[in-house]
Amino acid sequence: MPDFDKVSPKYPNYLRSLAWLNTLGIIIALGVISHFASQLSLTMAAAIAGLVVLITLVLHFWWLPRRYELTGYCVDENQLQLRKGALWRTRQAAAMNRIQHSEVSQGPIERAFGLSRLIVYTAGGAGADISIPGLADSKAEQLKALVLQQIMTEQPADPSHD
Amino acid sequence: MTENSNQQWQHLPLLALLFFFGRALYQLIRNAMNMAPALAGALVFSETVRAWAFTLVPVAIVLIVIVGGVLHYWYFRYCLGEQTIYIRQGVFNRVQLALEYPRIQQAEIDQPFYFRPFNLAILTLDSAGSSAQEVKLAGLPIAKATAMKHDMLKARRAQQDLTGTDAVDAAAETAMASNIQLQLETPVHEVLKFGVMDSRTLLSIPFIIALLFQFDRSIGVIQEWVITVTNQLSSYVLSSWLWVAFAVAAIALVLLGSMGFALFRFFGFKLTVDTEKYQAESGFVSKRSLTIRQEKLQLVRIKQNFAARWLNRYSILIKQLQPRATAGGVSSFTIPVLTTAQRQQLIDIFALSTANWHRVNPASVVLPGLFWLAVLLTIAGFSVTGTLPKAITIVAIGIAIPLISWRRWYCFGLHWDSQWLAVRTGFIGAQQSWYPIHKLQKVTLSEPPWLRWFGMASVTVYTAAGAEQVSWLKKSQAEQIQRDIITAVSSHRGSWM
Repeated sequence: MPDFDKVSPKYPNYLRSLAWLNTLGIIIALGVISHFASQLSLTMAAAIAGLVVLITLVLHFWWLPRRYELTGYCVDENQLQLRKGALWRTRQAAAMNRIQHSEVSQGPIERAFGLSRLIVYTAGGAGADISIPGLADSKAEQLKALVLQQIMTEQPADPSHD
Repeated sequence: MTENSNQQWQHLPLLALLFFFGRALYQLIRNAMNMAPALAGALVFSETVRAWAFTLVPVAIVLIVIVGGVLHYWYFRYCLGEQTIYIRQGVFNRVQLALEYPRIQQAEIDQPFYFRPFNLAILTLDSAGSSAQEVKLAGLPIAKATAMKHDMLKARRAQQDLTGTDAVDAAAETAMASNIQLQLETPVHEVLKFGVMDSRTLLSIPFIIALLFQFDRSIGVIQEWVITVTNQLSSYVLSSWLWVAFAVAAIALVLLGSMGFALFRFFGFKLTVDTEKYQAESGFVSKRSLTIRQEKLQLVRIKQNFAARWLNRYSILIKQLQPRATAGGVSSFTIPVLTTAQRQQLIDIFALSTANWHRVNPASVVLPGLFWLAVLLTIAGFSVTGTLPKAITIVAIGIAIPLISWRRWYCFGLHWDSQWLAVRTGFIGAQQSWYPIHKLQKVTLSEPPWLRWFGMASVTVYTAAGAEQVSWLKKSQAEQIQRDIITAVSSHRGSWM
């Protein structure tokens, strides 16, 4: 099994912020619905909101640290691998010579934490891309350059093999 | 686009509408055949749909064909440059493409029956470039089509620095003839067998029988009429016979329709395999041809459902890298009917390995089996009345589900080596999907909680022809597969796009 590098230590904070922002959104939506729709009483809305907060607390203290611990990547001359998932674990791998292109992407919340994600595209259609989250901006650019360098140094295709 | 600033976009002649009407009708029939089971289901279960089937639907078909044909005709424009032909087409999905003459691999002139009286023809251009583009220019006067073909061949000749069209064609034909590995033509009686083998037909039959139950009243009316005529047989016997006759007639009608569709699609099917490409052509009204170059091959799927097994025949689907949405956007073709010997010939040509099938853990069928047991037993518990019928139904379900689950597990297999990854599925029939290993783009190993609990994992491979997932593999085996595939792909230095 290859050695996986961990993503940035800021990644769990980013995930926590995302989780709590989603929770806040749900609570506001519940408040608005209970105000305008008589079918959802304030007590019922508060109960649902309480449940959502409880789930977020579980995510905050149990799921997110595990998610961070298990998220890792590995790039060498032959392949790129990404390991992620706390409950639903996956390990994605693509050979370097099948990578079409790569890009660094950054959302507003990621930008606030100085994080980026490196997305590597293959020709395999939907679901065949690899997206490495939680990378420090400089690391993402560095990895992108490394991937590009590996693709460029790939030997040119020899049609006689086909 | 630079050249067409000096040129004019042109419409096809008005009579080309015939071609566009025909194509709209063909697409409609094709889509309807793909949805045949769903349509049959809707007919069975919905009174409204049955009423529409004889009123609104025929009107809608005529409207779709006319409006679709006219719109496609209107939006189809072409422009001839010195070295390039530019095409704009599509109503909702607008496509604009440029075919350079030297890159046009094939320029064919066809004269279908409806163009013959007007001395018009269809010019089909095929550029087997990176995206296998094909364009049909319909309704051109035959002299103009011939002149355009001549210009294109001349441009290619200039490019190849050869002399004389005849020399080009002769050289190409000689080269092709010397490289041909297999030429296979499917006679009409074999094509008709595909009508019986078509899975959509087989899926429709249960719905047709269910539909007959809906016509109890009409059977009753006929039955009364027959009784008054014969006045001899008991109503029970007559009713049973009428029902059987109706069922046989309906199934025969479905089979005849399916055979008709098979003829429409596969009449004159011809497969040519040379050292570089696979080429298939067929069609009743107009010929459809597709060329797949070997380096673009993404999937070979060998199929034999239970009807095909009974007829001792096979079908093979060949899929290439999805081309851009050009005329038809075709990315695959089916070899409709193959004997065992012909199938073996093709297996040898594809160089498919001798499979070493690995089974997955038997637990893979336990969860779906339990799910179906629970669902069907609950339905039976509520819907079947009477103690004995209920007991018989429950016992039958209790035996059938485990048997079906076991059989599906028994038929499933996974094979991988340094050249191919293959998955075998089946119940009574069988299907094998073979992916060239160096075309695999990504391999994912997943461990959902329920698999992790048993020390198992699933593997998903992604190709340009779609994804394939295999669950309930030992984790160590799944890791081995992922490692083997990545090693084989990364060490492959041949072209793959």
